[in-house]
Amino acid sequence: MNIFSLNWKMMRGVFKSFFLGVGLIAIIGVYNVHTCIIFESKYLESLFLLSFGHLGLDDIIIIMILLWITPQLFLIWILRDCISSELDASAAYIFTRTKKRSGWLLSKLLFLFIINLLYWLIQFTVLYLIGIITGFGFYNIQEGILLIFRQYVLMVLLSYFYILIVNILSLKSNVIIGFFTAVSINIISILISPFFYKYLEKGPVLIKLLPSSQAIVTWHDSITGFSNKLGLFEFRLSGFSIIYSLVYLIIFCLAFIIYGCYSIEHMDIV
Amino acid sequence: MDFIEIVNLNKVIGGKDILVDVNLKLEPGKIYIFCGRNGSGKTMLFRAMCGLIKPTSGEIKINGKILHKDMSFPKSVGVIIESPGFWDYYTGFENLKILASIKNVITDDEIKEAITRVGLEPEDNRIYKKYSMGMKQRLAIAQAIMEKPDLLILDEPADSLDEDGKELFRNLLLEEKARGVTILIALPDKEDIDFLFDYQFKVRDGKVTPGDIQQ
Repeated sequence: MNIFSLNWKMMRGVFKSFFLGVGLIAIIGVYNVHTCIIFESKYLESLFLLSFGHLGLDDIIIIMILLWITPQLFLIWILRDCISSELDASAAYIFTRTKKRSGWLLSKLLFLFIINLLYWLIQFTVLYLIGIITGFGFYNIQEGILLIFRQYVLMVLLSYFYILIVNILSLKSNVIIGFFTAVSINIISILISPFFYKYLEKGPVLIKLLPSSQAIVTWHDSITGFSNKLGLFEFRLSGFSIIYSLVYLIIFCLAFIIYGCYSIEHMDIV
Repeated sequence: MDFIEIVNLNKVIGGKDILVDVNLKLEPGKIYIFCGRNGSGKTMLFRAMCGLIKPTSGEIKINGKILHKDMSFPKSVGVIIESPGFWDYYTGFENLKILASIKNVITDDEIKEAITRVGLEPEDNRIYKKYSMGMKQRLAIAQAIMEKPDLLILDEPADSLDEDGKELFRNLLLEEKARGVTILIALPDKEDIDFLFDYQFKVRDGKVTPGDIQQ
């Protein structure tokens, strides 16, 4: 079975959208370069954390939330109907050529994961180039690369978590409901965290349970601490480790995949 | 041995009986017609036989294997169900190549041969979106036959075909029958059946009853 060649051929439109994604990160990158310069922290680590891995917990700064969330929403939007549109249009033609429905779904989900990997790779590469062009360098090259790699993995997993929500919910209901559910979870998860932190004694514990918190590196305490020296980021939630976030996101992603396979095996395609 | 055996098939969707106690035995290499009005249940019956919907009760056996138990879909089937779902911005050949790449059992030449058999031009550079309704229907027939399946399930296959197209379709049915293919065709109630068939069934309110046997 050659599902992959089928996918690549049909995803040309998605790849074209990646160019828009490059424009998006270019704007965000330039804005954050400006912020880093204001705070006299011309380090690539600062630029990456500011762009992908940092939101304030003390107060809600809408512009920061928008800059953090927009590249994710864009990716979720362009991949929102990859599964349902194909089911609607061509399920009879495709499935009668496959052995198992869940096999088809798994191949689509694997493909979406690869697209997700590529999207964030492009985003990170463009930001790196913007940093280099504007004269940014590493504060500590070894730890800096590790920090950026961790940030990359967390962003990939968090985005995949939301892509799975959209695509698997759309199997059961429709794309609009799937998309708005994913976006709502993401936005509420971010907006509610400062409230938890400020007003609830158990706030930090609750924040650790929210999905979007998992990708905000500066809320974790298990990175080496050198980013405190970057001048921009001082806050950590104690006991919130990168490993915890990886396990959290992987478990939820696997749960969604299993649920999707179960659903597609038992659903009627009418 | 019967090629398809359906035993006490029932399907309920949203509390409504879609298929009611369907029992059928279909022999290999024959042409079967299923006639019924819109909403009578013939498309659902075909979807059930393709493995796209699961029976609420009862079972469907194809070539001795029970659908949804021994296999998810019939092993060798060509299908047209309702409107053809192709990709708008690819040519006819590219569309069939995309579908053929799933099983990967036929060559480009065999895809081109199927396109030629339905009276289309394999080298036609027009994208699917620019095809006329008749051309779209011909392409749907080509995708159903291209992998030389043992079973053809065709829901209103001659819909939108002009007279030339219908003549070509009649000949194609005979060629496929001669190859030993079991062919099931759904037609609207009022449509004149102007091609050779072996058995006819009437579908009404989800129930299937025997109709004519062609002399």
